[in-house]
Amino acid sequence: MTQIGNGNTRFRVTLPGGAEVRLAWSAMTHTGLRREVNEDSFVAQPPVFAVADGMGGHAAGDFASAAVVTRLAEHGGRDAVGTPEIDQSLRLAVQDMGRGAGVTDEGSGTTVTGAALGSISGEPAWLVFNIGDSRVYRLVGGVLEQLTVDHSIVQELVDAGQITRDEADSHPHANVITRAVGFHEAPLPDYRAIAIEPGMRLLVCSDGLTKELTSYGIRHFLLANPKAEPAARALLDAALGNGGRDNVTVIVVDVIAVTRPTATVG
Amino acid sequence: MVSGEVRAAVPTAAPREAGAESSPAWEVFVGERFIAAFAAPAPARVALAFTEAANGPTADLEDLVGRIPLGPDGVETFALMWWPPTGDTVTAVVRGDAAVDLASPGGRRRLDASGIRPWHLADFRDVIALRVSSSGAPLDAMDDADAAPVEPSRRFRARSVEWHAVAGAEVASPEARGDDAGGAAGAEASAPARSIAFRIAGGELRRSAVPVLIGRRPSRPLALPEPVELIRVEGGTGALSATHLELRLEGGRIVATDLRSTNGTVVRTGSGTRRMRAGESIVVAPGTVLELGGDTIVEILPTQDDQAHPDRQAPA
Repeated sequence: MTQIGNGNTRFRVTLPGGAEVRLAWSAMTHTGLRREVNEDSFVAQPPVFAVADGMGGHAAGDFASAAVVTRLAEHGGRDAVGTPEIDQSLRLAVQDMGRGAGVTDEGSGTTVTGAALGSISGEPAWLVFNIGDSRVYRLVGGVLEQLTVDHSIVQELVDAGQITRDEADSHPHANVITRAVGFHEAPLPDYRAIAIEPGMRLLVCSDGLTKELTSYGIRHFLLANPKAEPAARALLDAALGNGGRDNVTVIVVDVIAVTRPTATVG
Repeated sequence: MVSGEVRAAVPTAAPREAGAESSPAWEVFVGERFIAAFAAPAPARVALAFTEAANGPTADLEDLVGRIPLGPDGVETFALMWWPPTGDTVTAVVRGDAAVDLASPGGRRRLDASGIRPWHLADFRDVIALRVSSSGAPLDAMDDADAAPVEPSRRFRARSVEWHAVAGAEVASPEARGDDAGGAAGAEASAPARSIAFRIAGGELRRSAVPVLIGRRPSRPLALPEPVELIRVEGGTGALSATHLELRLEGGRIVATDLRSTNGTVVRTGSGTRRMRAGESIVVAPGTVLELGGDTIVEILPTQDDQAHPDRQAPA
C-alpha cells in the first residue's frame, strides 16, 4: 500500500484557461477484514486523484499499484495534465514493474482509475481515466452516476444481455478483469472528459468498496455527509461493516467553487 | 459492427400535419462507416465537409470530428456514429441536445452530452440498432414506421434516423472483440457453436463447448452441476495436479482458472510470462500458452469463428 497525499479542506488551483477551481478532498485506505496485505495504493494530490488495486503473487500486486501511483504523483504541483501525460506515466509504471527483481518476476499488474484536472478547449474539465474494475462516480444534484465502465468479464456479460446486473455481483468470475496495467501489456486507458462544476463530488474507489456497497448505499453516504472527510470515512466504515472482504480505498473530491476568468475581470 | 441498413423518415415537401413535427429535424450525412446528424439546417461549411467525407475515401473518426467547427459560430448540436472496418464496436460522439439511443441484447441505453464539452464520446459493443435522438425525447422503441431505407453517400433532412442490423446478420459475438488482453486480431465473429479451441502438449486440436478440466486424474468438483469435459493427461509428470486447470467460456472470452494446483500454472503470452496465483482466474487470448508443469503445455488456439467473415460488411 502506497499513499501519496491524503486530505485537504481547501485548495485553490488556476487552470490553463484561466478558470480558478477550489477543491477539498479526503482519501483513505484499509486492508479490510479478510486480506493480510493491502495491495491498493492511491494518489490524492492535484492534479491527479487516482486509485490502483494491485494483483499478483506475494508482494507483486503491491509493487504494481505503488509503481502506478508513484508515476502519476510525478505530475504533482502542475496545474493540469492531459491524456499524453497520463499515458506516459502508465507506460513508465509498466517499465518500473519489470524492474522489480525478485518481486515481480512472476508477473504483476494493477487496475488504475481516477480523475485529473485538465482543460479542454479552455473549459475546465476532469479527465476521467480507467483500466480495470476500480471506479469513478460523480454526484451532481443528488444524482449518482458511474463515470467509468469496468473492464471485466461480468460487465461484458451484462452488456451482451447474458446475465443481469444483480447476477453480476454473485458471478464466480466477478473479479476477473479483461484489461490491466502490467503483465507486460501496453496500458490502454478509457478516457472521458467531464465538466468541472461547482457543487459536484467525485468518488474514486477500488472494488473493495463497490463489492460491499450498492450504488444506493454509496449515494446515501455521499449525500449524508456534506464534507469530504466524513463522507470518505462513512463509506470505508460501511464497507468494513458489510464484510470488508477486500482492500478498500476511497477518495472523495469536492468542487467547492469554479471562478471563470471573465467573472474576475468583470 | 454487423451489416445493417440506415432508415430515415424524410419529411415530404409539405408536412402532412402542420405542427405535428415535434422532434427536431436533422441534417444527415451517411458515409460508408459513419452517420453524422446536425440540427437542421447545417452550416454550409459543415455540409460541404461532410458531403465530401461521405463521397470520399473512408474517413477515420479523428478526421470526421475535425471537420466539425466548434467554439463561437461553431456547431452546437451534433451526433456522430462511426465504426471501424473490423470489430464490433461503434463509437458515438454527441454534443449539445443531440443524443444517440443504442439497443443491444442487454437492453437500451442513451448517450447524451450531459453538458460535457466539447463533446461526449463513448464506445459500445453488441449494438443491434441505433437512433439519433435528442436528450429531451423519450427512450422508447426504435421503429419509426415512416422510416424508409436510404442509400449511403447521401445527404438528406429527416426527423428520425435509425440504423438496424439486418435480419440474418448476427450480432458479432464477443469472441474476437479486438482483444484488449492479448492483442489478438480484432476480427469479426459469428455466434454459432462457440467453443474453446486448444491443444495439449503439442497433440491434436481439441474443441469443447463446455468447461474443460485438465489434470493427471481430473474429477468433477461437487459444486459444478453443469456438464464438463474431463481431460486426463497421460504421462503427465508429478508436477501436474490431479485436477489442475479449468478452461471455460464466459461470453466470448476464455477464462482459465488454476484449481489451487500444487505446483502452479505459468502463463506465457507474446509479451511476457507470469505465474497464476493458486485459484486465480484470468482471461486468456488465443495464442496464450499455459504451462502446468513438465511437458504439460496447454495452447489456446483461435476458434474457427475468429476468422473475419468476408461477407460481413459495415452498414451501408
